[in-house]
Amino acid sequence: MNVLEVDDLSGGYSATPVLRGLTFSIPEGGVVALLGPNGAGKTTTLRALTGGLKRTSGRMSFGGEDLASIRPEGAARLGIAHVPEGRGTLADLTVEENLRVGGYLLGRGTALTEKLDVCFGYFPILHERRKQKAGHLSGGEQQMLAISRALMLQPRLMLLDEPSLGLAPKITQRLFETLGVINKEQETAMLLVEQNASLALDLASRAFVLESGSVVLGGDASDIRDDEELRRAYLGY
Amino acid sequence: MGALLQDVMSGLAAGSIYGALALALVFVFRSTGVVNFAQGEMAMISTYISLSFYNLGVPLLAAVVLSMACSFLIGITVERTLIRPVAGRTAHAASIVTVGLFLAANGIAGYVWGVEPRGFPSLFSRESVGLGGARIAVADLGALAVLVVLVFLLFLLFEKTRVGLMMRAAASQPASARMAGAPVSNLLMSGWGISAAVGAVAGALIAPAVFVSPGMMGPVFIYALAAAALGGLSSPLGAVLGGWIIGVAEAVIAPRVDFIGSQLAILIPLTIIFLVLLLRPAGLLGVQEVKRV
Ligand SMILES: Nc1ncnc2c1ncn2[C@@H]1O[C@H](COP(=O)(O)OP(=O)(O)OP(=O)(O)O)[C@@H](O)[C@H]1O
Ligand SMILES: [Mg+2]
Repeated sequence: MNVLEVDDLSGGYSATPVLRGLTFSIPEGGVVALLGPNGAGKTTTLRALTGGLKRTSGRMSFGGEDLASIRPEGAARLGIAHVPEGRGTLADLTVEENLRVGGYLLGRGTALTEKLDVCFGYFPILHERRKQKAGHLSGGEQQMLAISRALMLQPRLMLLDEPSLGLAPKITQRLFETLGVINKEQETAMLLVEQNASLALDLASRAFVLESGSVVLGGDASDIRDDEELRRAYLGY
Repeated sequence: MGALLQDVMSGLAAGSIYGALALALVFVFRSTGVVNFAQGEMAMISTYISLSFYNLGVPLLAAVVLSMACSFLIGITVERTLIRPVAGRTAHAASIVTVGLFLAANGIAGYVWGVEPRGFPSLFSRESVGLGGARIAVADLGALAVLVVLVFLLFLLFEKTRVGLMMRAAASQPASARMAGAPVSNLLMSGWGISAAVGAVAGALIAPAVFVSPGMMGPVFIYALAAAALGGLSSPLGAVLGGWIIGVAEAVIAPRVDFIGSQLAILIPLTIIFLVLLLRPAGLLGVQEVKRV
């Protein structure tokens, strides 16, 4: 059973199309890596799923719901959480306020405080820093905050755009371990865009390689990881 | 000593009125990033509405509260019909639309209510109380008290309520707020409504002194803009402090420095702003963007 199906999707920002007949799917609760060179359309794919794209043809559906005319607010309501490129945290709000903004749809009740505790459980440093402005956090902490803010939505699908960008290898390693735990415990499916292909292939169960807006390679993450020829040809390592 | 205290008090009172309108400006700026040049003219319309209710026999305080409610509706209508269509086109398009709104509001008020100045009753008694050898007007104390209450309420709204938090989020990063499922456009719209209601209070405070006419808010708006710039445009507390500094400086300096007199009094706030912004471009309490990569 797939939580997300993208079928023959084409579209772009204005005149020039970026996505050209893109087809892929994400199984319920699975982690899928979306790889490919700069400018391939990875970020654009994530934007398409939350309503930031002019679609010229093709279909997207999420849990059986058609995403043809999806808006960002609607995506949130359906349970799609976007951790954007550059993290999208609110610099002049405190850590806790950022999380409360993320939990807007939970209302005022105990669900909100419970979810806050879940986030603080995964990232205890955020609990320590909960009264600090997000703008004063380190890069790694900001990424933790961005992921936690997405978690506050109780998402069925989390879209992660290069979470390792600008982070030290050690911190990236720990972050990816935590992402794995979140995936299992919260049963959140993930679409993971990453430059660091080897790290992404370790976490993901399936992977797609995007070039010029279409999928040029897709399969089990472990198959791609273990096939040196494929790796060289498509991932350059 | 008594004369000085008296001048300081009347300066604080005038400054409170500038501060109230400056708060309205800050509220819109903080929630939408737009400087609303029509804020004063919207407050002028609100004042005519207060007066119309009062003339229908509604008690003054209730008339002002009713006008605040009408002003809220006017504010959200302005946002929805005039600001939203141009917002995001270019950075300054919306501010330029408010300049047009300034002219339109002036014309509409003259057409509906005429240009003859009309009297406006004071919310406070005309008496004064003795304090350390000075006579302080009750109306001055009243204006001060109203502003303090207003600031406190806005502080509670912004810092302590969920809707206030979401308004701050919607203003600083609309895209992120949308991704969290927040109704960003409704939040921005309410920001305009609330500031129009705050403007109605400023209008009711100044009206007894200047009479009600289409041009009544002109000078007040200049002072309020100065107060907001002085305080840092995004800080409610800064707007209030800015209003007080300008009001007191004017009331204290003008009668004591011969060549200034009443004609040049407006140069005092301008000089203060110039000096402050030279030293602190973000204003007294404005926050420099914090961002770390
Ligand atoms: N907002 C935009 N408006 C117009 N064109 C855009 C916009 N964003 C991206 N593009 C173009 O779309 C194409 C795909 O960009 P996209 O950001 O999706 O690539 P990417 O795979 O995420 O690359 P990277 O690895 O550099 O993040 C590029 O040619 C880019 O120039
Ligand atoms: Mg990208």
